[in-house]
Parts: sequence; structure tokens; C-alpha cells
Amino acid sequence: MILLEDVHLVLNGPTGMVNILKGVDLHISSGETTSVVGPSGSGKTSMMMVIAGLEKATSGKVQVNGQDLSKLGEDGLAIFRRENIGIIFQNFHLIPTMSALENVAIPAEIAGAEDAFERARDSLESVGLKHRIEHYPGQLSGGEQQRVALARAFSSGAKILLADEPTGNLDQETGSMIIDLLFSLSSEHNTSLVLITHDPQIAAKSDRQISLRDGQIVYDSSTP
Amino acid sequence: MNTSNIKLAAKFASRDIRGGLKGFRVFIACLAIGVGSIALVGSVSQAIVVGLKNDGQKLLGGDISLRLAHRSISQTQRQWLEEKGDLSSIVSMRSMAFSATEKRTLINLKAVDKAYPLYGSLKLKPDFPTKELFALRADAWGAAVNSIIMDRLDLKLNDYVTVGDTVFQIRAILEKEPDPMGGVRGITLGPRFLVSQDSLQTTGLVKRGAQVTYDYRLRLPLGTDIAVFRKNLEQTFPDAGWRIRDRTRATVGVERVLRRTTQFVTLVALTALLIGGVGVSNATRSYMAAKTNSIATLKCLGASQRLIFYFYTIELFFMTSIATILGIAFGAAIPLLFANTLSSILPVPFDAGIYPQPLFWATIFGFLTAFSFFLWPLARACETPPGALFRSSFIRVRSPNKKIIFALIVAIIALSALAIITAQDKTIASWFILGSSASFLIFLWAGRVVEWGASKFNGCRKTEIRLAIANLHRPGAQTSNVVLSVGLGLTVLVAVMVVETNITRQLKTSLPERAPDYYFIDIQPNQIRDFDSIIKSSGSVDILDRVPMLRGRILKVNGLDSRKVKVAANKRWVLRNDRGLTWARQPPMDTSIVSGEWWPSDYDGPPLISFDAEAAEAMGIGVGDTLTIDILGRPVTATVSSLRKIQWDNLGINFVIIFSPGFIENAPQTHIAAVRMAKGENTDIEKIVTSKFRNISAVRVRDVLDTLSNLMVKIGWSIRAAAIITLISGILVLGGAIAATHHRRIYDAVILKVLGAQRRQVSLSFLLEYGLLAVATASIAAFIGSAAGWAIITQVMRSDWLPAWGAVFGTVSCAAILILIGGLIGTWQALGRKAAPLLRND
Repeated sequence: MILLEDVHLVLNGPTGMVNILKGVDLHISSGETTSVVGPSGSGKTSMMMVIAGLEKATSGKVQVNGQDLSKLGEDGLAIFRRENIGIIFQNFHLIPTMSALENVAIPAEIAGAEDAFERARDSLESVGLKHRIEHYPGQLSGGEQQRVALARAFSSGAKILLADEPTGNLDQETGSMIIDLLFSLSSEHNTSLVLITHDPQIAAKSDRQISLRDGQIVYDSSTP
Repeated sequence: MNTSNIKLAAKFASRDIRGGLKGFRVFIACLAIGVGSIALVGSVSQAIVVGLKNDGQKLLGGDISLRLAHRSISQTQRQWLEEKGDLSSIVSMRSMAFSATEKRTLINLKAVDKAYPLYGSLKLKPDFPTKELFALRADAWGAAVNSIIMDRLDLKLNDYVTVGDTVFQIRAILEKEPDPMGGVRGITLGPRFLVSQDSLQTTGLVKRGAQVTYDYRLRLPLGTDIAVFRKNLEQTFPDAGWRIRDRTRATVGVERVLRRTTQFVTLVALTALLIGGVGVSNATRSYMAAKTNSIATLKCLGASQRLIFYFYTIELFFMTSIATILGIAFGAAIPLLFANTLSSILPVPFDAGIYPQPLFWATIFGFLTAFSFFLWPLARACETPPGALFRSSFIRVRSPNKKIIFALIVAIIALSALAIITAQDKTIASWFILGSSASFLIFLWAGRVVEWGASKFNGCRKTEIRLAIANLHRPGAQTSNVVLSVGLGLTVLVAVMVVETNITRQLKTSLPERAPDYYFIDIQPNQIRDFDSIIKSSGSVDILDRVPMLRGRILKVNGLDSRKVKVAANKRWVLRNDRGLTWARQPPMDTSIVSGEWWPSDYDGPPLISFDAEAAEAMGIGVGDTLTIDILGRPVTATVSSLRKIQWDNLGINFVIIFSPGFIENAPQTHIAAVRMAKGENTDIEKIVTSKFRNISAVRVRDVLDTLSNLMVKIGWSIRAAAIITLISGILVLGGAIAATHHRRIYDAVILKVLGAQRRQVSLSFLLEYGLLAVATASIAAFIGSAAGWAIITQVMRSDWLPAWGAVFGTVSCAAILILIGGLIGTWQALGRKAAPLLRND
């Protein structure tokens, strides 16, 4: 499903070139849930962006769901994400001028699905927000906004779900509820989940845990 | 173009717009003001054009008008014309009117026949039947006069005045003539004095060679094809030498002046729109900056860059539509709402209505300007990478691609082309495009220089000053935007003020110093000796020049009909009407012959002409070419033997055409003299000359200059109003810039207060920041505006430059205070914010 082979990522920062990823090798199977842990600046988010096609690897092979991302242009990558990837952010990133329903319907609408709104409605119902579909992000609590983001990620039928510290902006109780929902929906949709977290308890819920340090995988629970 | 992409983008845009117009107020205001100004100027101009067209018959005084200088039509011609329709004739000339108390004034005498007016009616106070108005009663003929004559001669109704040898009784005040375009030409020297032709014969003024104009108006039967009739008239009397005008082109001259004025004011309004464009650009940048996360999110969700570009383009075009609708509604409504006021103010007919053409052009200007200015910040925002959601460092926003750059270039070219296409004078419009582009670049550069200068300044220990200077150059500073937008508006205003001050001073001070004090016209040849001796005996008055004068019209240039000759626009007047001409043995004083040679003083050969060098260049002729000129109905062909450079600006007696002696010496003619009083002398030369010779008219130069000066003030108001709109646009942009930095300013104020700064210190630093910005902007605008004014005065108008520091200082000081006040209003709120809530939210 996800294959990274000797992936390097070098970016031009304000103070010069920075080596972010230094030869990452990773294979994640379909339906597998993987937690990524590591200190700030270790390359977790960068690895996730490379998987999502949001950042192009400087070298190495990146193949997701059978597609070599290095061969896709900007629009090709957009279509790839639309068909394969769902992303959940720490800051939710909902469009403030759109209602919950419209936010959830966007990916399906972009993909040209005629039943975008029916699917969005079902998706919102599955996260327990049927009564909030006409509300705007500003009228929702943090937990509710993250649930809308979850519904949005699953509504397009994504095969891979990437979550970047999805509970970072939530209290412990709400965060726990979101994590439970995330895992149950992943299981229900047989989605591969890549979850970045600082919380060992959340990481322990995944099938597999990997740890990054200084741009390299230093621990992989699946490796004997 | 993918239609499903556009549909989806439209759907997203409509959702975004539901949030209201917040964030677009400056965008809409900047655009609406510019579009509104252009629409207003166009609508008013069109209303006048339509008014002129609708009233063409009335304004001309007939369906056909014929004009001759010095002579009336022949009996054959009269007979022919009378067979075709109703004929009316008018005789007009300048003369002097004397009151019983020997007060005198120059008048424009118009003598009408019994058929007058063929169309429309006279507006008199009190109302009078025409027959009784002019009738001879108790040894006095009746007259209707302009109220200015009443004031100048201190007259009441039914008082008596003498014109020539005849006494007239003022029976009514002439409030309005139906035919202002038909009777007299150019700037009217002397107010109207309306009498009958029967009475004119008794004045003794219509002498041989006198400067008399004969106008004939013809009312044709209904259904007559004007073009066919005109052709028939021209073929029947090919050598008549008259100037023909018909009702379809009755107001060509006025329309020409109107179009030129409209163009000038439109270009100033276009400047307001371009400055508004800077506001559009800033507002788009601010709005799109707030949308960075939304754009990145949409990209993460699989939206293509094209979809996002369409989405925000549709939204921005929607806002453009709102602004344009507001602008054209304003431009269309004002002439309708103030139709009565405008009709009474304007000296020309005003037919208020909604005219689609100027509104259409204003709309196109609005959309093209908006697109040209929002495209770049929009395209840049659309380049936001989706990774922006995860971190702000390492984010590289690429420059827009080649297609965007191409679209931008096309939009700018289209905007420039539109300005040129819709302009009457393409050359002026082209210079405007070049000038405004150069000004944009200069101000953009100047803004950067101010920022750069501020960044290099680190020699002050005083915190408030250091903070103020740092605010001018730190990231997100609006210095460049304010210098560009306010500076441009201010430059236009400064340039207009400088030019106006110069022209007014020339008319009021400089010209009177070197111009003659009086012109005396219609001096008969047999009066010359007495006239000269009167002037000489007065002791304190010098004759600067006295020359014979006739009138003539150029019929052919090298045998080609003058109407078919291509002439540069600024010299078309040479061929358009009758021109004054003279003859001379010696070249006039200070004459500079630039080509050919002056004839010998005893020359008596075939007619030669010394011609104005500039006019010759405009007509493409030179020494050796021939001109055929109608003089008193006789076509005279003469060869150009020399070209002269004429100094028009000394108001001396100058003629485009000077004939050689011989042939023309014997034609009926009068003399014109320019005289100047010795400094400090107060001899009433006007009274002495006109008392002795009742047929000689005195034109007081200062009165003419005052008339011109008053005209300038009137024209100046419309141009100044348009220039002020450019400054308002600039201030709107300033408002937008202040709004864009509002949150940052609140944050700054709070943090400074948390760190122990007193309110006084914070406000002082803001005050200094805007003070520095105001001084920098005003100084640059004063310099560039004065330079532009200097260029217009010395290079375009070829006049002497008089520094107008008062006007410059006054204008820039007012604008600098406005910037300062604007800045302080914007920061006042920031100072009042409490620190705790803001810090808790953070």
C-alpha cells in the first residue's frame, strides 16, 4: 500500500539547506494502523507529507497504492490525493465559510460525485454530528470540528488516512473519544492509518509503532 | 476550459460570498469611485452631445447656415435661396455703445431681419413682440441687450444708448438667444446688443472694409434631404466663398471642445481608477492572505490549482460586478437627479437621460482595471503549497506561471488600448498611458527607497523614533502602498494646481505686462491720419503696431480643396473659418523668417504670401506652394514666398497670412492698431478715440484676459474635482492599508504596554510613523507633480514657467495632514485595547 525506499528530503530553509529525511525505508500494508512517534523536528510530518504527495522527495522511491508519486505533476497529485488519501490535521483546517455538511462534501464534490451531499450526510451521522450539519466551523467546539474533519476524511472513501497529531488541540477526554472514533472508522472502512502522535498510549493502540529521530527510522515494532 | 471545474468553482464561490462583503469594502469602494467618475463624465458629456444634436436646428438658426465676411450675398443667390425655403439674414459686428452720460463699452452688435428667428424664440425680460421691440419710436430704435451692458453703462430699461450715429432705446433684457451657435464665432468679445437691420443701416457703421459678418439661415420644407440640398447648393454656387453649415453638423465646434474637455477629465478620472486599482490589489492581497489555510486545505483535499484559481476569480469578479454596478448607478443617476441644476449652469443644451454607451465603457474600464490589479496577488495566493498547513518555514510560494504573466500583460495592453480607443486625441491618450505607467514605476521605486532608507537608519536612541522608523520597513509594512497610491493622487492634484496657477498668473500678471492695453479695430483708411495724430498728441500712449486688415478663407492648398487637406489637429483652425489677413511692405518687427525670403518693399508682381511656419509644417507645405484664398468673394491664388516664426504669446497683432503689396492694397479694408499706455499714465485713450470716431471699437485687453481667466476658473473646477477624486481614491487605499495592519498594530500596542511602555510613548511612535510617511509621500508628490506641471507649461503649452510654491505647499500640507489624521484614527482603537483578553486568546 505505502512503500518508501531510501527516501531523502532536503529543503531550503531560512538558514540554508536542511536534511529532513535521511534514507527512510518503510512498507505499510493495506488496512494496517501505524503510529509514528519521535521528538519535534525528527521528520514525522515531513514523512507524512511525502506520503501524501504534498512534498516531493529529493531522492528515493515513493509508491502509494501502486502509484509512483515522483512521476505525477501537481494536478496528478491532486487527483491522487482525491482518490486515495484522507488527512486529519491538529488544527482541523475546515473552511470557515462553509457549513459542516459542505465541508465534508468538498472532496466528493471535487471528484465529481453526484451524491456528494448524501455521502457527507451519512459520514457526519457516523461521527455523531447529524444535528450539526448546517453549523459553521465557528459555531462548533474543537471536538466537533475534529469530528467534521474525520467525516470529511472518510466521506471520499480514502484508502489511506494520514492523521497529524489529531488530538493535539483537544482536551484528554475529547481526544480519547476522537481516537476511538478514528480507529473504529479505519477498521470499519479497512483503511490504512498513519497516525503521528506524542502520546505513547495512543501509539500503543496501533498495529505497529515506528519511531523517527533525526530523519531516520530508529525503531519499528514490526521488525524483529 | 473545464466547465465542470467552473461550475464547482462557482458553487464554492457562492458559499464563500454568503459570508458577506467583509474584507471587500475597500476593494468595492476603490473601484466604484473610479468607475463612477468615468461613468459620470461620460454621461454628462453624452447628455450635452444629445442636447446639441436635438437642438441643432434651433442652435444653428435654420436647416442651412451660410456665412460671409465683409459682404452680403448676391441678388441671384438670394433669389435662388428664397425659392428653396424661408430665408433670414443676420448682420453682426463689434462696435461701441455710449450711454447718455458718455459711458462706453464694447458690444457685439447683431442686426436681425423680420423673419428672425426661423426656429425657437427669443427669451426677453419683459416679454416683447419682436415687431414692437425693434420699432422706431420717437426718434429711437428699439434694442434688446445683455444685462452686462446695463451694468457697465449703468442703464435701466427704456434708457437710451448711442451706437454709431443712431440712438437706441433699451426695451428688454436679452436672457437667451435661440441661435447662439449661428450668429457669432469664438470667444465673444463684448456682450450682445440685438437690433433690427433697418436700424443698423442708420448707424453708419457698415462701411467699406468694416469687419462685418453676414449670416444667412434657410428653413427648408419638411422632408428635404439636407445632404442632397447641400450638394446642390455647392454645385450651383461653387465659388460663392461662403462657409456652409447644416443642422446635422450645427455644433461640430462645440462638440470638439466638449470632447476635448471630456477626454481630459476622463483621463484624470481614469487615474483615480488606476489608483483605486492599487487598493484593489492590496485588498486582494489581504483577503487572499486570510485564505491561505483554506487554499492549502482544498489542495490537501484534492482540489487542483486551476479549480482554486477559478473559485477565487469568480468571487473577485462578483465583487467587481458589485463595485461596477454601484459606480455606473452613480454615474447614471447624478445627471438625472441634477438635470435642472446642470441645465441652468451649462451654457449648452443638456438632455438628461440614461446613455448606455458611456456606462458600457465605464464598465469595461472597471472590469479590466480590477482584473489587471487582482490577478497577480490572486495567482500568487493560489500558488500556496498544501504543506502550508503543516509548517510555515520551508514554504516556497512560487511565482505565478507564464500563463498568468501573459494574461496580465494582455489585460494591461487591453486597458491601455481602451483608453486610447475611447479618446478623441489618441496622441494625448498615449502620452497619458506612458506617463501614468512611468509614474507608477517611479512611485513604486520611491516607496521602496523610503523603506530601504528606513531600514538603514539606526542612529537614533530615542525609542519612539526608532520604533516609528522600524515600522516603515518591517515585514508587512504598508509604506510602498501608501507612497504609491496617495502619492499618485496627490501628484495629479499638485500638477493640476501648478498648471492652473501658472495660467491664471499669466493671464492676470505676466501677459498684461507685455501685451498692448488696447486694440482699436475698424479704423477706416481715411481716419488713419487723425487716429495716429490723436494717439501721438496724447503723449503717454504709443502705437505698437497698426496694420491693414481684411478677412479671407483658404479655399485651396496647391489646387486641392482645403477640406481634403490633411492637417495636424492643433492647426486645423487655420483652414476652418475666415481668418484675418494683412499685407505689408516690410516684415513685421521681431519677425524671424525661417524659410524663403521677404519680398522687396517696392514689390508689385503676382501675389506672394508670407505664411506661419508652424501652420505650414502642420499642412505639409513650404516655400513655392500655392494657396487660394477667398477675399471678398474673389478667389486669389498666391505663392508662399517665405515662412515666419510667430510669437503668439505676446498678444501683439499677428497674422498667419501676410500678402505682398500690390494686388491686395486696393481691396476694401480697415486698420487695426495695438496701443500701450506709458507706465503710471491714466489717459482715457478709449474715450478720446471712440468719442472722435464712433465707428472705431476699442477692445480692452485686460477685459479679454479677465474673460479668459474666468473661463479658466470654470474649466479648472471640473478638472480640480476630478483630481480631488484621485486623491480620495488614494486616501481610500490608505484606509485599506491601515485596516490591513490593524491587527498587527493592536498586537504591537498590547505587547509594548505589557513591556512597560506608556500610552503616550506608543501613540507618539505611531504619530511619528505616520508623520514620516506623510512627509515622505507629500515631498515626493510635490516634486513629481511640480515637474509634471513644469513639463505641461513649458513643453506642451510653450509658456513661461512661474514657480507656484504656495499652491504646491498648500496642497501637499493638506494631504499630509489627511494622511496623519487617517493613520491616527486607525491606531486610536489599537491604543484603547486592554492587554489581558488578547494575551489570553493567544
